[in-house]
Amino acid sequence: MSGKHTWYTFGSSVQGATHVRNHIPNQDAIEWLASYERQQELVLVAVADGHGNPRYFRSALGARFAVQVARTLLEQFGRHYGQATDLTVVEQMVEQQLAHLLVRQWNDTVDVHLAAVPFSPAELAGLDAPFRPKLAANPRLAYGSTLASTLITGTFILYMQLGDGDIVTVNTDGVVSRAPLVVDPQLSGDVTTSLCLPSAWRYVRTYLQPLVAHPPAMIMLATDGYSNSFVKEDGFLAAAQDIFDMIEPQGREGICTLRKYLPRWLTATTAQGSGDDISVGIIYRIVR
Amino acid sequence: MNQLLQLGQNVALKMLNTDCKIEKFLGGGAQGEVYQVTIAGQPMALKWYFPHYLKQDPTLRQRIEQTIKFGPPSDRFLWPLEVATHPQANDSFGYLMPLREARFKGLVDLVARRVQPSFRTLASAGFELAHSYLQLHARGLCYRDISFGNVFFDPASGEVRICDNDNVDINGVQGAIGGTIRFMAPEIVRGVAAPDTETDLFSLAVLLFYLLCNHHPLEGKRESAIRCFDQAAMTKLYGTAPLFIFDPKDDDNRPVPGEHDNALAFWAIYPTFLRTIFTRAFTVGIDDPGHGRVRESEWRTALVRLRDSILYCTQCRAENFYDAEALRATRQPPVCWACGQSVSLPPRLRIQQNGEASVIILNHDTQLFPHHIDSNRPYDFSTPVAAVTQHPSNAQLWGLKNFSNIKWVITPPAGPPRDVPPGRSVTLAAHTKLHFGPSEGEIRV
Repeated sequence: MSGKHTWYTFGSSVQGATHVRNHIPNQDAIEWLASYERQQELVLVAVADGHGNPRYFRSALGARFAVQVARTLLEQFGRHYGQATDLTVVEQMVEQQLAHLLVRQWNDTVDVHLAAVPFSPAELAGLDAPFRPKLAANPRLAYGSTLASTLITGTFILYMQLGDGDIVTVNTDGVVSRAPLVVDPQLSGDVTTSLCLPSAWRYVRTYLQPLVAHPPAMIMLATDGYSNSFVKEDGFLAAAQDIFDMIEPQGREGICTLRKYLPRWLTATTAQGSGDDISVGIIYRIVR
Repeated sequence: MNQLLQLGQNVALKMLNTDCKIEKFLGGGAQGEVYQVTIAGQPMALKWYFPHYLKQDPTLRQRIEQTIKFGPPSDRFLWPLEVATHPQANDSFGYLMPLREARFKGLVDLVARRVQPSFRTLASAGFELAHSYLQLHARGLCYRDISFGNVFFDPASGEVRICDNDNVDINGVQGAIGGTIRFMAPEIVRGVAAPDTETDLFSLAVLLFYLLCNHHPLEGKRESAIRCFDQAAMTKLYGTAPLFIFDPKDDDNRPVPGEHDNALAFWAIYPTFLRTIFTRAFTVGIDDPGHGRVRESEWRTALVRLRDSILYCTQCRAENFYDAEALRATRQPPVCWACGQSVSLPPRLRIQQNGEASVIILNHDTQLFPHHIDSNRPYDFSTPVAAVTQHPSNAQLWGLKNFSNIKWVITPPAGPPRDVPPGRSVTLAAHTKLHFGPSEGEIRV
């Protein structure tokens, strides 16, 4: 463990209320990892949101592949560079290799799956005519997904995101902020960038933050079904603060309680809010 | 999100004999964090270093104090102005610098397609970068970490800003900064050389290729084969076996269609002279680091020529380029890269200065500057001396208007010479000769 604190992580992914009614599976995915081997602490969370439009008929799989690839890649990155003292080199590797490798590995995973399971006539039957030639030119479109992820090691926090979704941080005073990722002007309304786009690596946003005096007390990652369940941004940020307030007084017991009730909480949120699938991952720091 | 300094905290600026208050967290990275402060009513930026970073670069403070004394080579550099300290944070320090205005976007934004500037803007930005680094090098300084993270440009005009000038040092002095591997000269990646102005030239070439082609010049098939974190593979790609993706003699590292489409698309659009200079930069420039690198002055000339060669497709208005070499070779009219139609060549002005000829395409929006007509004012693009204008009552008639304060003398193809005083125009008629004073030109149609 670094310094005098321990990072805990957990999450939940629930099928959206609209998807339940329409018999559509959960197209979100989530993975998390906490590893406390001696000299090798790392925790990570990845959430992904497969595109809901019928054009992207394998996006649930695309989201699953996204979080699996992100988990493997970030774990490798954390083990390789997690104890580095020269963070400028780590920052360069983030900026120069990570996005390419993420997209390349996701593409490879999709290609292997598609080769093994070609599109069926039933899958293609429902597609609109203008989209068919686009899919023919780029079959990965069917698997389109976003990705939001965070890796914490002994020396840095790494945020990595492609497309919509939210990563927020809460400091020890309970103040909520958005993670310092560049705002992507191509995200507006229902439009998002995606892993399935050509040269998708261009749209990956990253931020490497050295761990020094005042690391966040909590980091929350969520697919956009969560923030879309609130009328305004303030409501969503207040929800992050509520989660922090629930854990903070009780520490590990608070984490256990939230872990138990989070799925129920998110199910109620989607029913009363966006109707979309919701995935939430939490990383919480407890001072020992 | 900030970790080092708190909002509302004061830091001391000794030379200015004042404190300044931390107002806003602007961003950060592996070296430190940047905040907004206000000095004498002027918003400015303050960079503050992580204590652990200072241990890796023990001469940083001395270097910054030296840099402050040198002063900026031009207003394009966001240069350190003063060292900042804090009594309760005596394990670190920072420095004050001008605040980058919101209109400037990073090359990172270009790569991510968050901005999509015109070719004119890209050529202008490229010229300003070459010009700026030449001014830096002319002072005996080297930058040592030219990369797209340090460069910003105005997507409307191409005006640039160069940041992170805390890496700057006297040429030849050993230092802690090696650079960014993808922009490093191969001899640095191999560990046989230290950063200096010659290695800056390689980094500049990579930066310009990235700016104009939105792709790295060494990342083709060999790069796409990298499937995991592999420092050895990167060392080979950028250091021990670098191969230009358009190397004329070796196609082993060509761009991969579907993955490197930008490189393929943009390379085909640019004129022959630009491709020639890039090819030299990444063949001879790699093989002969001591003598083969393209100089900043050569880039400057090429990028002004590139900007002057822009012409608009008559069908779809897309920017294309006048390529005299290609026209001579094919004897065919150029084809627009965007719509595939033939492009009609607009009038051109061929100017002779000091025995050198240059061609400027006379588009509807073309302006001439002192650089174009006065060899005593090279690279002066401050105020236009001429502009293409449309006749007020005959839209088919175009002319070149004299915005300078000296008269021109023109010699029409048929007829005696006549004066064109300031404020008057000359019709764009073929073979009209113009005497601008220090130079002569001829209109070609």
